[in-house]
Amino acid sequence: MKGNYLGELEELILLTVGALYDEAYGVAVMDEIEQQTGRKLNISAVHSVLKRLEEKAMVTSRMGGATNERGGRRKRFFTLTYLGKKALDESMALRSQLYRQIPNIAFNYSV
Amino acid sequence: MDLQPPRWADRFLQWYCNPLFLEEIQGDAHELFFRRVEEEGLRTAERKFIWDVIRFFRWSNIKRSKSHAYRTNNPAMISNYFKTGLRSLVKDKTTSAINIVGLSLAIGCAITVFIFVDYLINQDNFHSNRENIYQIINHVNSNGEVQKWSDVPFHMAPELKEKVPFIEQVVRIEQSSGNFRYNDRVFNEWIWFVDPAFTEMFDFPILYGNRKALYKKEQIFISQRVAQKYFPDQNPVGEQVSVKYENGVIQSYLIGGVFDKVPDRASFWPSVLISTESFLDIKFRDHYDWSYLTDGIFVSLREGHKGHELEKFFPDWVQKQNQSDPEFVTKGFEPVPLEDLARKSFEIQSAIANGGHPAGQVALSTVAILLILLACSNYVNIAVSSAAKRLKEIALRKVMGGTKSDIQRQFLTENVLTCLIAVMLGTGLSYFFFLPGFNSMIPLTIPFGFSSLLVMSLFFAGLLILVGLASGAYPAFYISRFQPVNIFRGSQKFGQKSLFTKVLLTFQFLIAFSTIVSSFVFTDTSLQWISKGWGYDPEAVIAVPVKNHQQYTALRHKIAQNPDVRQVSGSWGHIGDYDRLTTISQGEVEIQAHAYETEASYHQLMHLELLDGRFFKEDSDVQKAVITERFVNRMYWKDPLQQHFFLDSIRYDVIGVVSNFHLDHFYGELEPAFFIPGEENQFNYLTVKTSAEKELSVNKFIKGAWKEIAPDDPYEGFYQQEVMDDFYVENRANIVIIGFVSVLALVLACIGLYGLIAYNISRRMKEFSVRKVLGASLGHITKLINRDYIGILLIAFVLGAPLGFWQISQLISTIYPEAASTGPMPFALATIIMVVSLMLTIAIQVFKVAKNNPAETLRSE
Repeated sequence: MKGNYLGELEELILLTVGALYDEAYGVAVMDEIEQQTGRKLNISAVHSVLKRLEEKAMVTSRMGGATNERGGRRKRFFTLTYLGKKALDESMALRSQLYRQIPNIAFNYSV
Repeated sequence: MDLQPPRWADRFLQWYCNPLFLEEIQGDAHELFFRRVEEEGLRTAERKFIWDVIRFFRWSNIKRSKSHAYRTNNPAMISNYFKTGLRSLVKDKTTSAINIVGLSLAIGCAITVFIFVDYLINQDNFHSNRENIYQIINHVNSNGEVQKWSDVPFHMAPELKEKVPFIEQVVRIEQSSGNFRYNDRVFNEWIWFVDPAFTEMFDFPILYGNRKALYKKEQIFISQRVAQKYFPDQNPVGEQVSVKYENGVIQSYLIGGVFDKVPDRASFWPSVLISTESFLDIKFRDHYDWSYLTDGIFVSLREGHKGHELEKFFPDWVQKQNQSDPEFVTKGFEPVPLEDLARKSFEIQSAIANGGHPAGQVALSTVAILLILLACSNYVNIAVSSAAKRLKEIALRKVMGGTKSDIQRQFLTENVLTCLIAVMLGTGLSYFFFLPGFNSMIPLTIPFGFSSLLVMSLFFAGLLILVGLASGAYPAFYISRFQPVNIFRGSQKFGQKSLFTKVLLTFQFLIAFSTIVSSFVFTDTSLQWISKGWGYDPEAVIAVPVKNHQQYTALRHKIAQNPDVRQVSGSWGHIGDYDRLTTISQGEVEIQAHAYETEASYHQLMHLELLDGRFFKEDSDVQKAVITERFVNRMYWKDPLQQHFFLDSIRYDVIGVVSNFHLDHFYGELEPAFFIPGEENQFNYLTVKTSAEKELSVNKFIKGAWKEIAPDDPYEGFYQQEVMDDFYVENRANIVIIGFVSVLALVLACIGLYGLIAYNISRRMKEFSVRKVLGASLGHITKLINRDYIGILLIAFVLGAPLGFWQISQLISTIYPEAASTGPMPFALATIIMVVSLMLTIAIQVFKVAKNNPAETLRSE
């Protein structure tokens, strides 16, 4: 099923949306990712990922109020849905589960 | 904030972006842009903005039909437009009638003019091989000017055929006339001597006989009209006729074929065809060398060859022609395609095809376009002011989600509907009235038809779209701009204060006034000029052209026996029918003058008014001349009776001066003329004066006498009063056409004004009712109604009247340069007509207001 798989960028953006909580809109997400990871994204990429996530019902969106910035145009704010949160949890769980299975010996040397 | 992202990129984004996502996407892009302007500078910000816009151009963001399906009009809506359109047409019958009548009058004129122009441009298109047929035109150097002549060397034809490999056929046309005789029927006929291939090259339809009949030189072809004269209602093939030529030779021919009715679009057609071989037999001349020019040569080329390929053969023949005749200097020859021939015929001397001057076509087209514009401005004005009645409908449509373009589409649809009705009515008008009327005034008969189906459909589609858009665009855009809120609140301003409307109305009346003034001034000037008289008395004068001295003396002898004949006179040349132009000189001065060699009694018979000196006496005056006033003016003579002049190096002394006279028309300037004593054996006219009552019987008597004297020649006698007939017909046609156009312009302007006032009154009916209730007089209300229009009408009159006068003075000065300028009469008449029609227009409306019961209007709320 389409909804079950999260791409790498999707996961990153989904996490950011969760982290920004109420303030997640296109530019903010883009800035946050750049700050946290140093990764430069094009705004259009952010938009299309957000749209995809919305289609997968992992985020919902609402239009914000009119502002004086950006020519009075409203922002679309995204929030994590239960499904999105669950997907993040699952991916987190999967990672830590796998992580824990890594045998200690393998990297038993120190730098 | 002054800074803006690049406009085109922003526009592009708005254009492609799905409206559902546009706001957020554009918002983000703008936010980034403004941030970058501060951080990285304008240039980079702009570049990055453009880049963002391009990156946003993805499938998921692009506007697709699915996402805006709700915007398109479905067929139900369009049918609704038609329905509301029809309803509003029916609801307001006066306005609809005004619009439709105005438009259909103008469209009728436009259709008529188009048919006329289309006819003249596409003449001769029934010849199936027309793409390959060319006429060879002669470029002749005449006093430093190059003239185009239809006449080309007779001997070029065999050379063309021999030397040019890709020529299929060559046809010479040599024009002449001869007297045809079949039993007792004798008429003078116009003859074309042609090479036998003529009937194969051109597709004139054949009624009887064989297309190849001319290959036998004793056989001839005649037109249906000619056949009807000699052999009414029968097949004449095989009948024998005799032809007496101008040089006295009589030949017998067999009818080899008869042409059917001349095709409508023919610009030239034969009346009698006789083969060139027969022409050589008649021996008008002993021999024909290269200097002999025939009236026209046509060639048809083989498929795939073009006329310009002929040009390399011409230089030889140019040289040959110029060597044999140094007087008539040929610069070169030009092959003119048959398809262009009629159109170019106006600049070709003695052209075979008759095409008419393009000036007429241009003038008529201008008039047609002007009338269409007038009718369109009516429509615009009325539509704009009539929007008042439909404000609520428009507002409601908008509230229910109709966009601006929906409203525009609706009004344009309605307009196209009106235009469609007008086009249909206009076609009917043109078919039943305008074209037949026009045909009755011009020497052509133009059928109601188009050169091809394609031209017709393009014309009608173009007319519909042009008129529809020209008249509908402004109202549609104007109306669709209204805000529903303003309409419902009742504060929408519209109509009467619009500058555009005022300008249109002024323009309409300007044209109406100027054409009315033109028409009156033209009519008055030309009628006055004509009524000044011919310069002699044509009443009860019969002139008979004679061929030779025997005929002259025999006829004169016979006529003298008739007691009703008052006077008989002979002459060489005759006023109005045979006006020979000669060059006379005195010293260095040379002028052109018409010469008449007459008997002494000629001047008395014709009632020429003697101003000075005397007329010559019987036999006693040799080498004396009587000249006209104009002759004196042209020579700048102070004492004409002491003067003399030379004609063909013979000296003539002036012994008298007569008043000027007109020949067979009143066009142009009067030309000088003179009379000198003639020799009786040279006379070619016998002029008879009788009394008005006896005119008919005397003419009959002369005709009877003629049959006995000259059975081989047709009787060509005519009443002197007929020489101006053609001119009178033309002048009347000019007056009628100008008058018609001016009446139409006035009618259009008046119904426009009528419609406009009607709307403004119905809009203000409540206001007037309240005023009436409060005691306003009718005069006061009239003033209120007219206030908006008086200024416009005054401006239009003050500008239009002189404009019309100036225009028509230009025309008059070219047609009748000597006519006296007109007095105040035509202005007064034109003004009266305009004032009366305007008052009538307004009075009907005022009457409506006066009759209106205020209680009724006010109660309805």
